[in-house]
Amino acid sequence: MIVLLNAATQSQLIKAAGETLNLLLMSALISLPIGTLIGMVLALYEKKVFKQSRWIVRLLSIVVSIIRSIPFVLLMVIIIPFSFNIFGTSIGFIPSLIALSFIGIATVARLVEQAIIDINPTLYDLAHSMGASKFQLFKDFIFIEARSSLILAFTSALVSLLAYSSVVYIIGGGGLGYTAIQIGYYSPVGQTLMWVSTLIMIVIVQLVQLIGNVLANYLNKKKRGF
Amino acid sequence: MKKIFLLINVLLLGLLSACASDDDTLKIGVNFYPMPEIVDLIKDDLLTQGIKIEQVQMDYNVLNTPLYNGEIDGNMIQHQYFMEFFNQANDSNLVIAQPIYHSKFALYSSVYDSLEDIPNGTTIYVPEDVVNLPRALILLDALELISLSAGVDVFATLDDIESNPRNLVFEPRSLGTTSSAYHSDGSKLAIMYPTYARDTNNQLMDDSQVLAYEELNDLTRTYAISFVTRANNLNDPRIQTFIEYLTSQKVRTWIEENYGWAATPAF
Repeated sequence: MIVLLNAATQSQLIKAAGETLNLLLMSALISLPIGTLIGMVLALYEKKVFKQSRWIVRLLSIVVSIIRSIPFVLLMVIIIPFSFNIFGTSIGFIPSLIALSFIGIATVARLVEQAIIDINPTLYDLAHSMGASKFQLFKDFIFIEARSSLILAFTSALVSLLAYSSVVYIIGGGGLGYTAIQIGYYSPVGQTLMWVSTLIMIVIVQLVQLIGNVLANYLNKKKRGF
Repeated sequence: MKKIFLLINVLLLGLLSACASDDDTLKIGVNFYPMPEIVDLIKDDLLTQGIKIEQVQMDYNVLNTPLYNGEIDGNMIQHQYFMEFFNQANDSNLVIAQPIYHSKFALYSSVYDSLEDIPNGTTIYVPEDVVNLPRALILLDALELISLSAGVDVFATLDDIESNPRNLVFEPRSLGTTSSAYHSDGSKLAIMYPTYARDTNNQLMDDSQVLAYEELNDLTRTYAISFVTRANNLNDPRIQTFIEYLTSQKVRTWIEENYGWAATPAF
């Protein structure tokens, strides 16, 4: 199918794929660490591992839910004045990255929370009876137990981010969404471009999912028996 | 947490300075076909005049904000009324620099062969937004299918219909969904832009289903899709040169050949 496209369209697609991957990578770099941190806090306070100031956690949980419930297209538009006031730009990469990071952090936080909550609760008693400190509980018990589900959570979050990144063309972020929708679907002569862009998205998702599955399998304590 | 946010800010600021581009470039906001193609067409010619063009491609609904903020120098996405809405809402000073083309606007039907065949009580799909609905009503008024109250035109609503002898039933839809609503109701009657008119699967690029086109007159010419700038950079020589090339014979011929089924040049 690619060979059917002329050189201009090919370079357009390569540029778009680059923009999408760049957005995906940068927003992942921002949202994975912060989201994981928030998700851990949410899950561990819920598990009563830490007992102080539970109202902060409830507030955090509400904020995460609010971000996740704002329609993403609206979120991007809301971010425009915010982005202009802070970074001096209302178009393109920066506001797209901010919007993607917001939704990415919220998504990762929820998924990580679920992964941690799923841990067998006897683990905490076990760690406690073995005299583990809070850091050791974290490093040697929770992390080991949950790492495979965490990888799957990250994989799922990455795929969500990719899906969200396909609409940032609305605020000038470009990417494969732009070639697929704006100059693909909306153009009377863009059918091929639309399908090729979609195909590239499918390939990216398959790769991300494959890597995630392999890694999760490798890190799965139960299967590997250590 | 604070430290992390600080870190992100620093990271983002770094990125920002990395992708800040030079000021010699004329940045033109474009969105839908055929504007990116038109800009591409004259890009090389303008380069020989020492003007570099950069396309900023984003949704037309948010393209006026960067123009107003001074991040881009002009955009090619709207007509006068869309611009006036933005000007009113933001107290801004965008101006029409040059009309580019008149979008065709038409009454579609694949069932009726003439206006006289339209039976009593037919459902008609019309645009729902505050700019295109009046335009549709003006078209119906011109075709004498309805008559509007005297003196209302570009702000007309369904309430301004004074008489409706065929008892047409109005079904407002968004521009993008009118076509499928029309087809799922037996392709009887709809008012659409050819750009949005689709057969069941494909773009409808001929007039096989067109019952009547909107006529170009003083009123309908005001709906020309235009090149818009801020009042304070309209006289920038680079903008003037851009307009000169935008209205060249080359662009006119290109529009007529490639987009003639949906528009006529407005220069």
